[in-house]
Amino acid sequence: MREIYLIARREFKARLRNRAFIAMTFLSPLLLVGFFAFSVYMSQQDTTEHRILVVDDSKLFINRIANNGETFQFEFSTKKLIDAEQHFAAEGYTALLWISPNIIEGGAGACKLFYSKTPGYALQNHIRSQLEKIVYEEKLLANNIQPQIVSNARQHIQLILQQVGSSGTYADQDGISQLGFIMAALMFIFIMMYGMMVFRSVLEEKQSRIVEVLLTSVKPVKLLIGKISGIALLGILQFILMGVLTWSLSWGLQHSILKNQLITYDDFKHQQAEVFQKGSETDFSKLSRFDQQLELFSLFKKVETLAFFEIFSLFTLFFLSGFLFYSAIMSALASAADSDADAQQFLLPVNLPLIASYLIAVQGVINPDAELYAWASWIPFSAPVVMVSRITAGIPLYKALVSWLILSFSFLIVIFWSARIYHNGILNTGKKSRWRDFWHWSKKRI
Amino acid sequence: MLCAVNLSKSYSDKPAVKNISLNVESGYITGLLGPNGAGKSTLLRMLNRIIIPDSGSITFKNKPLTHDMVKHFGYLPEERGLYRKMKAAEQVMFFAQLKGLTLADARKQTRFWFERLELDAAWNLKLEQLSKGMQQKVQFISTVVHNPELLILDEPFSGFDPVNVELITRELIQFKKSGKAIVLSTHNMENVEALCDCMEMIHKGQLMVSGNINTIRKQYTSNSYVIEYRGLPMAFANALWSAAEIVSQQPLHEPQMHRVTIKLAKSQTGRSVLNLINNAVEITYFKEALPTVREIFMNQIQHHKPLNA
Repeated sequence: MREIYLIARREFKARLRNRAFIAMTFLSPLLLVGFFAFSVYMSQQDTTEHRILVVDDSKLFINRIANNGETFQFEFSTKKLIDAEQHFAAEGYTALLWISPNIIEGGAGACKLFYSKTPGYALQNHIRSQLEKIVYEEKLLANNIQPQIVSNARQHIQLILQQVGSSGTYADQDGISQLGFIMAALMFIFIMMYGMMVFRSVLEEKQSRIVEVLLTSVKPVKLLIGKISGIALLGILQFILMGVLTWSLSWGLQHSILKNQLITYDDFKHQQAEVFQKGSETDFSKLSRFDQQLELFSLFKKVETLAFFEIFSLFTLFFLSGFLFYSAIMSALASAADSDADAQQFLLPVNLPLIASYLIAVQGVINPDAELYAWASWIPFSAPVVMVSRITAGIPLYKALVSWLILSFSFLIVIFWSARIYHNGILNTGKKSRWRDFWHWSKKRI
Repeated sequence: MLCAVNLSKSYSDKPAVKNISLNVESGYITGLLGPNGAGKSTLLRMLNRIIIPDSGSITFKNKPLTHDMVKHFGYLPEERGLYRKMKAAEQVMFFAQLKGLTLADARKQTRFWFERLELDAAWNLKLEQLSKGMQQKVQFISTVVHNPELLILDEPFSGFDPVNVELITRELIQFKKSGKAIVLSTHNMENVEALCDCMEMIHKGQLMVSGNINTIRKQYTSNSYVIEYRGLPMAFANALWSAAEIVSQQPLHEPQMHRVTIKLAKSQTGRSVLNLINNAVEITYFKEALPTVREIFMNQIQHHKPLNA
C-alpha cells in the first residue's frame, strides 16, 4: 500500500502545481457563472433613455404606443419623414420611428427605425411588441371583436412534465433533460482529459526509462494503480473545487444582481400556487402579470428542480469509475507505444467508443426510449457518458447504481489485464509493438 | 551474496541470454563485459527482477530472490531517467521512500549525499535546470541513497567527465570496502582492469570468461616477459639465441637502456632465460607480461568459445 500511496502522491503533486490545472479549476466556474451573470445583467441593463420621434403615416398609432417608464418615451410628429429625418437628432431625439400607411396590410419595410444612438435589444423588442399589439387589436376591431374579450380569454400555459418513477417519487423533467447533452459532453471531456494525463505519464516514464528504476521498487500492478489513483484523486479534487466555487459564485449572484428577479419569482410561485388551489374561484383581476419574465422564470424553475447533490454525486462516481476503466486501457496502450506516432495509432480504438457513447447520449436525450440508449447505459465502454445523460432526466437511482457497479467491476478485470500488458510493453523498446503482441503479453505471468 | 544459475531469456524466440550462471560476493566488484547486444542489460534486468527469466534461478543470501529483496539493491540503468519537472532532492527522496526509507531518513540521507557530491545548490532545482553532469550525480545518488547491499550499475561512467568519473570511482571503492557487492556493466576495459576483482565476459548471450581477473589474465598468458636492461642490444640478442623470440624492442631515455618484450620458446621458463641474459647485460626490470582485459576480450570475441558450449 505504501508504494501505491507514494506513486499516487507524486502524480497528484506533480499535476497539482501545473498551471493548466490551476487555471482550469478556477477559471471554469468563473467563466460559467460570469457568462450567466453577464447575460442576465445585460438583458436587464438597457436603461439608456431614449426619446423616440414617431412619424405615423398610417394614423393608426397616434398616442397609442406606450412609454416604458422614463426609459423609452415616444412623441408623435406631424412632419414629413424627410424633414423629421434631417432634424430629429438635432432636436434631441435618439431615434425616429416611421410607420408606413400600409402597415396593416403587412409587408417588408412597413416601418423603419432611424437612429443616432444605437437602439438596444430591449428598445427594439418594445417597439415591435407595441406595434404588433396595436395592429392585432385593429384587426380584431375590423372583424367586430373587442380586443379586451380576446385579452381576457388568452392564458399563458406552462407545460410541466412529470414522470412517475418506479420508486413512487416524481422526477421533474421540465425541459431539464437538455442538461443531459451538457452532462454527456462534460463526462466525455473529463474522461478524455484525465485519461490522456495517465497516457502521457506512462509514455513519459517509458521514453525516459524511469520505469526501469521504478520497477525495482514497485510491482507493475501497484505502479499502475498508484499512477491512476493519483490522477483520479486530482480529478475529484478538481470537481470539488469547481463545485464549491460554482456554488459560491451562484450564491453571490443570487444575492446581488439576481436578487430582485428572485423576489418577483417568489411572488409568481405564490400566485401560481394560489391559482392551483382555488381553481376557477380565483379573482383573476387581482393577479399580477409576469408575461415579460416568464422566460427567466422558466430558467429559474429548471435550476430549482435540479437535484444538484444527487447529480453531482452520481457524476463524480461515474467519472471516477469511467476514468479508472478507460485509463487502465490507455495506460496499457501507452506502455506499448515506442514513439508519439505509435501512441496516436493506439489511441484511436479508445477514442472511438467514447465518441460513439457521446453520439448515443445525444440521440438518447432526443429520443429517451431508444433501445440502444438503454443498452449503452449498461455497457462499461459507454456507461459513463450515456448514463450521466440520463441522470438529469430522472432515471431511478438504483439503475444508475447498478450501472456504476458493472462499470467498477469491469475496471477490476481490466486493470489486471492492463498490468500484464503494461509490464511487458513498458520494457519493449526499440521495436514497434503490434496488436498481436498485446494478446501475447496479456497471457504472460508477471 | 547473489547467485544466478543457468539464466535464460528469449524475446520472440530469439535468445538474449543463454544459460548464464554467476556469483556475486560481498566486498567484491564484478565487471560485466561484452559488446553491444551481448545480453548484458537483459542479464542485469533479470538480476533486478525487472524481467523474469524463462529458465534458471536467482538466490540472494541463499534464498530465492523476491521483489522485496530487490529493495536492498541499487540499480542504475544504462539509459538514465529522472523526472525532468521534479526537484532534484524531492526526486531522490521519492526513490528512497520507494525503497523503504521513512521520509525523515530519506531526507537525512539525501542531505548527506548532496553534501558529499557537492550538489547542495541543486537541492531545490528542477532536473531540467541542472547540467548533464549534475543530473548524472542525482541519478547516482538515487541509486545509493538507501544504502543498498548490492549495487547493479549499467555503464555507470557514461556521460561523466573525468573529474566525475574519479569521484564515482572513489565512491565505488568506498562501497566495496564497506562490504557491499557491486556488479557493473561497461564497455570500458580500463575501468574493469582498474576497479574490478572479477569479470564475467558475455558474447551473443553466452558466458565466455568468468572468474577473478588476475587468475584469468594468468590463464591467458602467452609466456611473454618484459625486460629492461643496460647494455648492448647485440649482446642481449646473442645471449637469448634460440631460447626466446624478441617481440618488440625500444631504447629508453637513459644511455644504453632498452625495453624489450620477449616470447619464450616452449621448453624455456622465465628463470632459465634470466640466467642466460644475466651475464650478457645488466637487468633492471624483469616481469611476466600478462594480457590486458582488452586483449582477452578481443581474443574471445574473435574465437567465440562459450564456457558452457
